[in-house]
Parts: sequence; structure tokens; C-alpha cells
Amino acid sequence: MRALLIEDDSTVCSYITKGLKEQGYFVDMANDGQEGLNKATSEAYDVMVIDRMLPNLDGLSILKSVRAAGNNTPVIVLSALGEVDDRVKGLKAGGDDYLVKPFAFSELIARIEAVVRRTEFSTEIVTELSVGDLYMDLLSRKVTRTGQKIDLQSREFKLLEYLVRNQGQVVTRTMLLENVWNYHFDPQTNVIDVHISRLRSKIDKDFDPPLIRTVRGAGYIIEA
Amino acid sequence: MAKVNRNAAARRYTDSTSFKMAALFTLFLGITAGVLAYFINQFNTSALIDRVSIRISADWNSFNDWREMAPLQSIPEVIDGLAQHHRITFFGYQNEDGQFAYGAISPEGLETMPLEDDLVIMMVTSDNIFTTYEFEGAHRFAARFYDLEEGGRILIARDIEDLLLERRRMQQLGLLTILLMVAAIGIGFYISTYVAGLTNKISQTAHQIMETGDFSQRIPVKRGGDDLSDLARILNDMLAKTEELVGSVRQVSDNIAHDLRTPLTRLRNRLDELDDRLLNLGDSEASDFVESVIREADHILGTFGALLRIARIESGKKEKEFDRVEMAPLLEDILELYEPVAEEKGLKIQSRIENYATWGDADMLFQVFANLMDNATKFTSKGGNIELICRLEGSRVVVEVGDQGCGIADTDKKSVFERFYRAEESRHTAGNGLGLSLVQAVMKLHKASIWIKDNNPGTRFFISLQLIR
Repeated sequence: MRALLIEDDSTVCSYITKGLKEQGYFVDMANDGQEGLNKATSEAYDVMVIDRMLPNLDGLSILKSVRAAGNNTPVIVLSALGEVDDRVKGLKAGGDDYLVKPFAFSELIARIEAVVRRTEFSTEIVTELSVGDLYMDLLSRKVTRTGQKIDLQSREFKLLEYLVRNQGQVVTRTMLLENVWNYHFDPQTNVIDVHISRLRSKIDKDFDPPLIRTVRGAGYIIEA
Repeated sequence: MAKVNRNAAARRYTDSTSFKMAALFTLFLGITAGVLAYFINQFNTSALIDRVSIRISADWNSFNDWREMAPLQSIPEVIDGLAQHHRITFFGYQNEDGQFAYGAISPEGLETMPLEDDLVIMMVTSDNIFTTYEFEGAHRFAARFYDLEEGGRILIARDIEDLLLERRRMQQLGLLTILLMVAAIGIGFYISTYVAGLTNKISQTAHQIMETGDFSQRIPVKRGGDDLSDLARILNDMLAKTEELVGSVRQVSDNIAHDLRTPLTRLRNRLDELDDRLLNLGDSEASDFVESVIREADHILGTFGALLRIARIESGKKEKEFDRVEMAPLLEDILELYEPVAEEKGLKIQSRIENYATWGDADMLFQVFANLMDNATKFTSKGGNIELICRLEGSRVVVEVGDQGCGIADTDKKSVFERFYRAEESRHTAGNGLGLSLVQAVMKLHKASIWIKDNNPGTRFFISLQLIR
């Protein structure tokens, strides 16, 4: 996997590079906007991470040029600006996700994995999902495990669907809030954990092995 | 609670010192007017006529006395004699046929108006006066006819023109004084209203600032050079300075939060790395310890994040992104989000949600109700009820969140919205003391109000939002 990182802060840069390399990425770097645009348009990458504030050319302009050239590489926009309209601007310019600085590295990795996975499968229309011996029918909204029917409430179904679509990858609590509940907010308590534990009691309690795993300090992962 | 205080602040001007001063002033003027009116009354026509009537009667007595003392003198002789002593009394003699016979005044051809006590008023010109007494135009004379025993009549007249004019002037003066007093009362009233209005504005603004802690408020003051306007302007300048200072203090704390967040995140990421290595080495005990440190770091990061979020909301930039927000779907989502939490704690959530729309930011409003529900579930103990109500009150959408927790003491009710404030009873629970500050910041941005009442047991939060159709 090849990743392009366009970021002018060398500390952040070396940190992300190091982390991505550990995850098995080959990382290309650009420290200013113009250089970043040149690399983004001349070479093929699996994912790009672009900071909004850059010398010479800002991140959103790079993103727009890349998209205008018909390049659909997944892009994560990084920014110190965390307001809703900044987020909307970033996504409208063609970003696949938007992450506000500073962030936990695990959050960035989780999001990179999610956007890469999303683009890989986006071409096919999925009506069925499965992980291990758990099957989800997205049309009839039925869930079975080892053939046994499991009743889920609609939000639980959405939660499970999001986890299964990102199976094998860490999904953070913020990602769940944004994608399952569609609200950008900051829960002060462990509401998400309570929902997960409820879901677990339905799909994992009476079965073996458990599918949902807690990843300490990061979030959750579902895998067989 | 808040409403009552505001009413007290917006005291009616009748309670104000300036009004009381004006009232005292008015009372004093009123008494003066009364005294003046009494004296003016002394100059009224009937009192004047009474006095003239008595004088004329006295003149008649003099006439009779003279005749008794000098029985041999004829009537013209008596009249001449009297005329030398009575310079302002005019005597006239009419014979039995009613013809003017002799005297200083002839009533012939004079317009007469009857008055009380047989008195008449005559319009006398110099032509009818046969002495050296001269005047211009017609003078009013008070006169009375006295029948003589031997036949004929004696006319006794006195010139009262000057007296009447004087009385008239006094009356005009009195009227003028009364008009001036009315004007003075009016001006006093205006001044007291103005002063009371301005002092009320000052106290109202001060009160609102005390209540909301919002230093951006100013005393409304018109252009004008009076001392009260000057005072209001000085107070406004002081508020501006205070706002600036408070703002810079807040700015510093926000900057600290902002500047510390990046290195702290880096620290947290390093700890993550360390944890990975410890797990790879198989040292799960050390890893557990590092994870607890990571949780501490996350807590601090959460606090900084909340501080910055409040700062961003208070900067008010988000207002332009407001949109129509349907309350029922939003609150249903809140219910759905917190229902498992409540169930886990053995609490019941009762809801009564009517759908109304408001103008705002859905994410921020969601955050507000999430924070309130967080608190409600946190403070209500097992078996308790939580209530979520959305209803219409007048032209406002009112959302109530009621819990059955330990309640908030009256002394804490205002302070709970302060940053990092935690009431005695809640110190042992999780949280950073910023939840309600965030709620208040969002409410302020939405021009919504929030107040707290006792729920007996527990606390009930009321949020009043703008209604849009």
C-alpha cells in the first residue's frame, strides 16, 4: 500500500510516517503544497493524507485539483480547524474523511483503513454481509448466527452493519457516533460502550468465539 | 427563579428615589398653590363688592349725620359739604320726578347692572362727573340709591375700576402661577421618569450581567450631556474594559488548552506505542498500568477539548450555519441513545414529546440534550425515573429534562453553569465540570434560556427555544 502524506509540520510528519510504516505502508512525503500537488497528480497512491494549512498551496486546493483530474484516491483531510463548516468544506472539496488535529494516532489509522476499504468495495452493491458464522441480510434486515435468528433493534442493526463493513479494522467511538448516529458530538460518558455491550449480549453471549473485541484506547473491532 | 429577579430589577419608577423626590416636590408645590388660591380668593368679586357696599352704607350714614347736625342746609349744600370730605365718593340728587337735580354724578343715560344688596354697577364716563375728577373712557362705579323722606333719591357711587383691575391682575397672576406649577409638576414628572428609566436600565443591565455572566451587555444610552448619561457611558466603558479583561483571561486559558493539546496528544500516542511494545514483550501488568495512564491522558484531553469547544461556541461563529431543526426526531435519537444506559442502571425514562421546530445547529442541540441526559442518568439512583418532555409554551418550544437525583441546592443553582464548577454532591462522580457550561454556551448562541427547578426529588432542567413554524 502506498500512502502520500502532505504535511508541513515535520514533527507530525515523522510521527505519522513512522506509524504508517509500522502498519505496512510505503509512505511518500511532501512538505509544501506545490510539491504535494505534483506528487499527487504524477503518481498513484492507495490513500492520501492532506493537511489543510500548507505553504504555497492550501490543502483544499490540492484536493480540488486532484479530484478535477479524475483521481478518486481516498483522501483524509487533516486540520486544526474543527468547526462544522470546515468539516463540510473539507468533505465537499472531495475529502473522504476529515480529522481534527491533534488526534490519537490510532484514530487516523482506523480512518485510513476505513476509507481504503470503502473505496475497494464501493463498486459492488452489497445486499449481504457476513463475518465468521454471522450473516446479515441488508434487504430483509435479518441477522443470523450459526443459523439462529437474532433480533436486533434498528440502531443495533446499523451499528452491527458499520462494524461488519469495516471488519478486521478498528472502529473508533467517534467514527461510530458520526456514522451510526449521524451526530457530531462528544459524549461525556460511555454511552457507546453500553450500546456495544448490548449488541454483544445479542450476538456474542450465546455463541463462540466472540466476534466483537475491544481495542484498548482506540475502539472496537469485529472479526472472525 | 430568574424571572422574579428580573422583575425586581425592572422596578417601576414609582419606587425610585427620583420619583419620590418629584412627588415631594409636587406635594410642596400643591400646598403652595393652595395657599395662593386662598389669598386670591380674598380678592374675589363678592368680597370686594361686600367691602364697597359697607363703604357706601357708611357714606349714607355720613350723609344723614350731616343733615342731623345741620338741619337747615339744603341737600345741594350737604352734598357739597360731604364732597369736600369724601374725595372718592360721589353723591348725586334726584328730585321726586326722577330728574337729576344736583351733585357730582348724574346717573342719567348710564348703563346700570344690578348687583346684590341693591347695589348697581354703572358704566360712568367723565361726562357724568361734575367735579375735577377726570379719567379716560368708562369706569365702573359701584352705586346705591337711597330714598329721601321728603321725596327724591340720593345716589352714592364709588369708582371701583382700579380695584377691579387690580383684582383682575391678581387673578391673572394666580392663574399664571398655577400654570407654572402645573408645568413644574410636568417637568418634575418627566425628569423623574427619565432618571428612574435610566437608573432602571442601569440596574437591569447590571442584574442581567450578574445573572448570565455575559459582559457583552451594555446600558442603552442616548446621546446627551447630562450626568446620568455620562455615568451610563462610563459604566459601559467599564463593562467594555471588564469584558476585554475577562476575555483575555479566558483567551489565555483557551490558548493554554490549545497549546497543551498537541504535546499531550503526542504523549498519549507514545504511551500507545509503549503499550504495544509491552504487550509484545508479554508484560501485561505493565501494560495495564500504561493503559490506565492513557485513560488519564484521555480525560485531560477530553477536558481541553470541551474547553475549546465552549470557546468556539462562545465566539459565536457558528450562528450562520443554523438551520431548521425538528425537535421530535432529535429527542427520539437522544432517547434511543440513552435508553440502554438507563436500562443498565435500572432507571426508567418517561417521555412526552410533541414535535416543534426550532432554529439552530442540530449537532450542538444534540450535545446539549446528551449532556443533560448524561447528568440525569448519572445522578438518578437505581429504580428512579427520568423525564424528557417537549412541549409548546406560548411561542416557545420548552424541553424539560427531569431526574430524581440528589437535586441541586439553591445556592448552587446559578453556579452549576460555571466552568469547572462541581456541586458538593457530585464531586465523587465522573465528569470534568464542563458539561453544563457547554450547555449554557450553546443555549446563549441559540438565544435560548435555561433554568433549573427542584423536581422533588431531583432536578428539572427547562430549556426554552425559539419556535419556528
